[in-house]
Amino acid sequence: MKIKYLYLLSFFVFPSLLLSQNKYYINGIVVDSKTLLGIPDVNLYLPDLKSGVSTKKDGSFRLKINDENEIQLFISHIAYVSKNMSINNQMNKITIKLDENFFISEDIVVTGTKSNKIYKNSPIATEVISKRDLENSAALNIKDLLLTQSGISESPSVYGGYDATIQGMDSKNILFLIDGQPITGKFYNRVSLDQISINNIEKIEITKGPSSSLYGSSSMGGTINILTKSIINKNKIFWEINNTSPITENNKYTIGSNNYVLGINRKIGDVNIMSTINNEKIFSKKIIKESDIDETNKQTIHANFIWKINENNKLKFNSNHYLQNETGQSLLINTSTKINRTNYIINHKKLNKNGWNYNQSINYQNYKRTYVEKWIHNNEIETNDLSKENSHEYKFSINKKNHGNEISVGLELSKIQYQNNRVNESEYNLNAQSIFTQYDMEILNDYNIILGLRLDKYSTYNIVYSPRIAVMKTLDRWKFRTSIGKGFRAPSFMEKFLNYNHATFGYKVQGNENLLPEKSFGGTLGAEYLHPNTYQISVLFHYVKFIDHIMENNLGKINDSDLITYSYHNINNVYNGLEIRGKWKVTSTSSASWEINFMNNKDDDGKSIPNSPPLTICNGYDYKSPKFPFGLTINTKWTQSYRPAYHDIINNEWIYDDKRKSFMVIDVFANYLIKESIKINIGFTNITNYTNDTYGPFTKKTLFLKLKHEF
Amino acid sequence: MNFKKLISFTLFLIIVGCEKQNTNNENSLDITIITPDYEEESFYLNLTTGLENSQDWHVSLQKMMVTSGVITAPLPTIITNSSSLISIESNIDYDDLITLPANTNWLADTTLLSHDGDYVVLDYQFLCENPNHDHPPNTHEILVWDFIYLFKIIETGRIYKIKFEEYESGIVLFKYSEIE
Repeated sequence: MKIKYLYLLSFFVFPSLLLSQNKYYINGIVVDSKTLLGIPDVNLYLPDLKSGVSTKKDGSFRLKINDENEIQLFISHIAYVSKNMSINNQMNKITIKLDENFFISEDIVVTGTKSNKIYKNSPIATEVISKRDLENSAALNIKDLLLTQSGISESPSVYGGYDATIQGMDSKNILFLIDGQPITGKFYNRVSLDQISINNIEKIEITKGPSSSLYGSSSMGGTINILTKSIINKNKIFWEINNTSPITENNKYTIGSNNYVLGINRKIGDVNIMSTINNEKIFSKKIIKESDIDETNKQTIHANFIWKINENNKLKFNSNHYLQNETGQSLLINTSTKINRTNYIINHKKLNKNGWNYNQSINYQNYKRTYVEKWIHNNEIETNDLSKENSHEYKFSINKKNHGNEISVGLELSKIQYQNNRVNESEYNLNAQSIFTQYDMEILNDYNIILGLRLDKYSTYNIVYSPRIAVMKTLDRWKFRTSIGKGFRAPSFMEKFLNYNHATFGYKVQGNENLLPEKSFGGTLGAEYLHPNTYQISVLFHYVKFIDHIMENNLGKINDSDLITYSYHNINNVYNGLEIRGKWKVTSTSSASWEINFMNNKDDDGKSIPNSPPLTICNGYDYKSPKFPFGLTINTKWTQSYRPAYHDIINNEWIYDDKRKSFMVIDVFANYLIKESIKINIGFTNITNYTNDTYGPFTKKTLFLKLKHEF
Repeated sequence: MNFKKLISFTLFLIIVGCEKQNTNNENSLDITIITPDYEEESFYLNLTTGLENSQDWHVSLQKMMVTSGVITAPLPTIITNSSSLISIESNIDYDDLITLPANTNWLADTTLLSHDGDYVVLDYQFLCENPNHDHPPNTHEILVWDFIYLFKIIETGRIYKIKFEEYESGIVLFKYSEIE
């Protein structure tokens, strides 16, 4: 009897118990990981149940779940990094933190002040190419990445090659840093931007105007700081495969590449170790402009070791090795270029009880480039060039933060040795000593002011003074920023000493030992408006006047030689422009961004500086699916019609070519998170196949494929 | 056969190859010539014998002083002489050109292949003033044009096709063979 009752009871009760167990609710809130403010319109989706909700205005949500098993929750918002997490019926109330990657207002920036500063508190206007931008790009190196930005273009240079010009300025007047450290080893006085892979990069910060008050030589028109990925406190192994393949072949400039990355992060007690190996092979057919290169191999080994000795002391060792091997083969001659770059940094940071931070580092950089031409028919060597550069540097700085104010004082001592087998006195030494100070203060709650001064003494030059003042005023959602400062660049080894003949072409190049350091004076004036969670717009005017700018110059025939002598001299000119940038979260699944760049660069005579396209406009559109880990990006870059120019070495003047019609380059990418740890990116660059063999872009439509796995 | 002929032909190639090496020939009848550096010596080739001959030649590589503005540059240039007529083919591959095309237009201009000639072989892009050329104007590089040149030796009526393939640091590589 009892059994019968129990049976009846179970018949009615169990289903209701099961029903009540199957359905449960999770209440929660989604917040910004930095501000801890709730985020509205975040999509929460349960792929297994094919249902979901969006967060309310305060970021809160209530999720109904009809499954007692552990299931996956997919959280997405166009301005934040998507997240996948497991949930179960034990969770009644949860808080989900998302990392913003759209507006940079809350991001830490470092380049404008040489110290970590939340961007909304920094008086120095800083443009950031974020991790999100890096991921939504087909570029494998910094040069290709920068060329997708407004105001940056590739132009024929005086020496017959092609350079990236930034705001119309020669890249030799822009300081390029990796983690705040200038890059040693330049080719024709310029950093070879195509030698810097973007694989290990967290973000890139760009500041406009002179910053020699902080960084010394070369920071004349702007500073581009490439910040590498820092160690995370967890064990991780990751690998990545990148491939670019030309879809439409171009007889002159067909290029494709394979790139492999392997990395490991390991935390052992108080020690973090991170190491990445990067191998890239570029295969090309009669590539690139001034030389025929068939194959390029690049290898990078990057290692980082951080030891937190105790609460107040941290020791960091960083090592980078870069090896590039280029080979070219024709019917007559084989060419081989080997570039070897090594960099070691030891850094010690100490925090004193009285609030002073001590920071010192020793930096060693070595650069070696060999170029060999060998005839095939007789095996004789036609050319065997060697150039070497060694730099040793010691840096020491102290700083103290106190209620929004910060004072920094530091010194830098460096010794650089140059060597080139085309120069009679094969070795040249440059010794430099610098001291700098910076006071960063917050006054009246609304004003941030920076005062900086740096003194640099180079071997043979007088002391160069580089002051800077920057002010920011905050008015509700508005930020007004301005900065004025001086910059300089010491003449390079090549500009001073390197002589070589181009007898066939009737000219020779001669160094000028009497060159003065080139100087600049300029600044920025800008305004920025941020509507939280919706849009951001900024306007920035920048102006740089160059004094004693070092330019190549024709000296005519000297000493009855048949050859025109071509050397360097100092002149003055002005670069200025206006940038308007905007970002708009259109919906919780789509966003748009744009950059409008005007340039108005003039020389001493008021003539326009060649190869400065007066107007470029970049647009970006992103879509992120609310239900699946899928995203789509479309980037466009439009350049207004302009007259490009090439340099007439004979008469030492720029010759303007026919007017070039306006043109647009369009890239399209899609990304999909296969699993939480496996991401695939696929896309096409230059989908309209627009090319120009003389002034670029050179490569037609290219397929881009990236696969990344972390575990 | 003509085993003797074979030996003679092989020897001929070896002789040519001593001074001007024979490289990867797709067609075994093609003769590949690598000239000496034009700055060291002028080069004169007799297409019929395949040998250097400064008295009886058809195609030559020489130094030519070119003045433009204030610059005088000693440029390499290809020169022909009045012992042959020239025709240009641009719409056919070298290997496919086996017989003389119909309606060949023979020209007697000996400067046709030289600097500033209508069908210049070695074009220094920087000094080039030909408005029909679309190469980059600023490059300090010598471009080798991709034409096929037909040479008709007036005395014998024999016809040769020539393709100039490469210029590097004063040396020119070209291939040629006789056609019917």
